[in-house]
Amino acid sequence: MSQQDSALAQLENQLASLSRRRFLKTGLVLGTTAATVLTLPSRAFAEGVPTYIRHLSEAEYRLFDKLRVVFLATERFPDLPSTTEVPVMENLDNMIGRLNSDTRFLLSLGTKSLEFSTLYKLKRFSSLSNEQALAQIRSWQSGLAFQGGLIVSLKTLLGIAYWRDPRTWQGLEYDGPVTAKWGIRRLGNMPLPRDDDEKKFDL
Amino acid sequence: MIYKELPKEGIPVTQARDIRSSDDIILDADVVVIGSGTGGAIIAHNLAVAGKKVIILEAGRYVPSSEFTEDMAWALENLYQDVGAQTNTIGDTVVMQGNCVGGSSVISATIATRAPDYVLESWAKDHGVEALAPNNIYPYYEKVERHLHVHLNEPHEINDCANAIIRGCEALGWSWRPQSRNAKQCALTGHCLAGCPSDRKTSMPVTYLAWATAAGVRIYSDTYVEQILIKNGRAVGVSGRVIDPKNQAVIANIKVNAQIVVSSAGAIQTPLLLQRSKLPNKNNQLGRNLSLHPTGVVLGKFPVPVYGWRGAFTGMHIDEFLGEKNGKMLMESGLAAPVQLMAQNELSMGVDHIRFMEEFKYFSALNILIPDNGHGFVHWSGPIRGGSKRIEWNMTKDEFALYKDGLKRAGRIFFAAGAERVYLPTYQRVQASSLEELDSIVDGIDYGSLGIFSMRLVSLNAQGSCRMGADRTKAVVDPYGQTYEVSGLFVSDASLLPTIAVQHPLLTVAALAHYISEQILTRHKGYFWS
Repeated sequence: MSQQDSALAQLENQLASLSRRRFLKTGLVLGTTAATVLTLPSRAFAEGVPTYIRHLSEAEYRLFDKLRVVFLATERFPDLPSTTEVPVMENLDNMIGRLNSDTRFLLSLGTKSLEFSTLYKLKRFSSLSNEQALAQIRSWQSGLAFQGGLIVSLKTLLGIAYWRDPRTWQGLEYDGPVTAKWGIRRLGNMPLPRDDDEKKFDL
Repeated sequence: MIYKELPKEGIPVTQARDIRSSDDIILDADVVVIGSGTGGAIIAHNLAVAGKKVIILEAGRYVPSSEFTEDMAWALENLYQDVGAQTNTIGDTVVMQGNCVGGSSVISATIATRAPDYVLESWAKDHGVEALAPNNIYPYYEKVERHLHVHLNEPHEINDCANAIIRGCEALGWSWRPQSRNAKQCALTGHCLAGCPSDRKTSMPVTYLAWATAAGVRIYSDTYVEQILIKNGRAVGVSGRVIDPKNQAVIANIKVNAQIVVSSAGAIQTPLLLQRSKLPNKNNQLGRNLSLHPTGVVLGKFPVPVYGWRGAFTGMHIDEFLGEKNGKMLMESGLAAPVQLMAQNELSMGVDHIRFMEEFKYFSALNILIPDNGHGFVHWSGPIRGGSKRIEWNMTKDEFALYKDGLKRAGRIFFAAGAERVYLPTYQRVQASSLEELDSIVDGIDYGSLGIFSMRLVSLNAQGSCRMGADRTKAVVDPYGQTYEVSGLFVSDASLLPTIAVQHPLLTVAALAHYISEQILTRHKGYFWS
C-alpha cells in the first residue's frame, strides 16, 4: 500500500468520528482530497482485493462489489444461483480487462467519482449499508444525466457478468445454445458461385 | 483464373500464432484490402477471380464457425469491436461492429434488404451517383441475393415474438412484411447475433471469403493496419502490425506493397484509417456525415409466455412508417439472449431487477430504427500509435421527437396485441401499463441537455462517414469508389453511403462492392502493371 493509500484509509476512519461542525469546517479540504483521489492510479489500492482480480482497482472493486449485492439481489429467488456461485466479480474483471484504453479510462474515472462522491456522508459508497447504497443509487439515477447514465452502464456490466452464466438461465426458461443439443448438421462453405458472368472461368 | 479446391469447412487464414519470427513481414500484391467484412470480401473475391493477386488484412481474429458457442457474452468478447463496448464519446450510445474475419456479416441478424427506391433515387439525383439509381443497382442486388440465399421469411421462420407484433399491426391496420434474410435452410436457433455455428447464415466466411481463398486470396487476421502508404498522391500499400489477440503483444510489423488499396474497414474504422494516413481533407468531409441509425428496443410483456428468443431471430418488419413522407422509420421484431436486455433496457434494481428478468419469457421485442441525418463524425485524435478514436454523435431534437413517436407506435402495437405492460428504452425506468398511460409517459421523457443519456440506444448500422458523390466539395469518394484525394485508393463499405439507407445496409454494401470491383477492373485497369 502506498503512502497515499494509507493516508486515504486513515482519512476515512477519521471522517467517521468528525462532528458536523468539524465536517463543515473541513469541507473544503475534503473536496480537494476527493479530487486528488480521482487522479490516483487505478491500481493504487491493492489490499482487500481478491487475488483473482487482475484488472479492477481497489476503488473499482469495492464499488462494483457493493453494487453487485444491491443490484443483483438473488437471495430471495431460490431458482437462481447466488452472485458468488456465479463468479460475477471474476467475470466482470475479465470483461473490463478487455475494454479499449479509452473506455477503460472513462470507466475508471466514473467509478472513482461515484465511490468517493459520498464522502460528505463520511463514508465511501462501498461503506454504506445496503439500504443506504440502494437509496444512493436511486438518487444518482434521478439526478444528473451523467450519473444516471453511468449507473446504468455499471449495472449493464454487472448484469452481463451474472446473466451470462448458464446456471442463471434455467430460472428464466431460456434455452441457451441449442445447435449441438438439437443435432443440427453443419452446412460448411457454400458452393462456388456459378453466375453467367463467372462461367467464363474454368470451374 | 481457375478456382482451387474449396475447403468443406473453414478458410485458410494466417493468424498471429502462425508467425514464428518477429522480423518485419513485407508482402507484394496487386490489391490489398483492409477489412474482411461484406465490402472487402466481395471486392477481394471479384478481383482474384479476374486474376489479381489479392491480400486481405483483418484486424480481428479468426474464429471458425465450429468454435461459435451461441453464447452472446462470449460473442461480445470474441467477435465484436471493443468487446461490444464501442460507444460514442459521451458514452450513451453503443456502436456495434464485428471485429473478426468476416466482420459484421458474422454477427448480423441476417437482415438483407434493399434500400428503398426513394433513397436510391436521391443518391443518383442529389449526389450524382448514377450507378445507384434503382434500375442500375438492381442487377447487383439480384446477384448478391442469389449468392447469399436471400429470401423472404417463410411462415415457419416467423416466431412468436414477431407473431405478437403482427397481431398488433393487424389490429391497428398497419402494414408489415416478412423479413428478408440471408440464410440457407435456417435452423431457427435464434442465435444470429452470436454467429451461426451451423453455417446457415450466409456470412462472408462461408461465401465470398471462402470463394476468395479458393481463387487465391490470402487472408491475414490479427493484423491492424496503421496507415495507408501514399506516394505522390498515389496509394502504394499499407503498413501495420500483427498483434496477438490474447495479450495485445506486437508479433511483427507488416508492410504490403500494392498497386491498389481498398479500405473496407467499416464506417467507423475507414475514416480513422484515412485520417491516420494523413489523407488530404480539403473539403473537411472525411469522417463527417456519419449516421448511426440509432436503435432502441421496446419490450411488450404478455400475460402468457411468448418465448420470444425461440425461432429465427428476426421475423418481420413494419413498413407502415418506412416511406419518405412517413418518417423513414424502420420497426422490426427481434429478441436475443438475456444479456441483450442488459445492453438495451433500463434494468431497475434489486428484487425489481430479478423480477424483470424473470419476465423474460413473456417478452416480445420491437426494435425501432430512427433515420438520423448524418450529423455525426468520426475522428482520430493523437499520434498514429497511441492515439484514439472519437465518435461524436448525439440525438438531435428532431430525431428525439421522431423516436418518441416510435415509442408510442410500439406501445400501441403491443397493447393492441394484448400486452399488459410496455417497457421503454430510456436511462430512467419507464414503463406503461395502459394505452392511456403510454402517451403521457412518453411525452414526459425529457430531451435534457443535447439528448445525452436520455434514450438507451445501440447502433448496428453506422454509415456515411466517407460518402460518395459527384461533387468533390461534398464527398470523399467519387461515384466509382475511388477517393478524390488519393488515386489508387478505393473504399468499399458502409462509409460510402451518401445518406442513410433507411433499411439495413448489408445488401447495399454488397451490391456496391460488386459495382466498385467492376469499376476497378474496367475504368481503372491502368493501375495494374500486370
